[in-house]
Amino acid sequence: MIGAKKLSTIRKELRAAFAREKKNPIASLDRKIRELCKNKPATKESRSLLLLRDALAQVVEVKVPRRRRRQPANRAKKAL
Amino acid sequence: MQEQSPKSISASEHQARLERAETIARRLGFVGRVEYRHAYSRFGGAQYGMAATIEQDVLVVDAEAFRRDATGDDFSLEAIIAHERGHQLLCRHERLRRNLPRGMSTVTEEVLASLVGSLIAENPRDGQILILKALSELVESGMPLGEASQRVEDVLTYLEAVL
Repeated sequence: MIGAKKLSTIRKELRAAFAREKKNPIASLDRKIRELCKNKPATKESRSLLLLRDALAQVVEVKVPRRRRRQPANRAKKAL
Repeated sequence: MQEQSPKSISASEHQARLERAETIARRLGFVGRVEYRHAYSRFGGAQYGMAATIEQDVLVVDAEAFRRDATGDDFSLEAIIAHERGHQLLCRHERLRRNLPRGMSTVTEEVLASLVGSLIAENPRDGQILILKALSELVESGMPLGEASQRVEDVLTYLEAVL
């Protein structure tokens, strides 16, 4: 039986668990998937890993590193 | 607060629900009887019963499954039934049965049923949420999430090869 726990509760609990452990398994999964798919059609194994990766992506917040904006060079103001 | 009992439905709606549940179950490969009960249970929406023969196995789907399916952000009817079909496969699939630990715990069985269900579900979203369910069961039993994720990966790889 699937049990009475709501999906939203499951997601919340898993997010809290990820936040506590501070480990992101998605990066290593992505590497494995790329390796499996390299020059080969998708295998059963890569499909199941993709399923796992996409499931984890629902609960792991992947922080995209922000690039620092290049400061524009000081421009002489045009005389109006 | 959730209602204690579902609102009454007509005989034709009752029949339509049964037909929908049975269609999904057959698509997922379920063998045996499919029943619909218009009641809320504590099972989460459905329950599988192993009988003397596979043809006599029973899948009982209740009103809770339809209520959850209708919310749009909980387990769909397909996911709920895929989980129960997962239980049937754990009980009936020759190769799986041979390699399952004897006297496995309820948690292990529920985790495996979810993972089997994730692989047979037609919609990837259903597969993903069944995987989250499996992870949640492992974490709730005390396993660190990183380890749970690795175990799930290993089991999925094994199940893909066997099923």
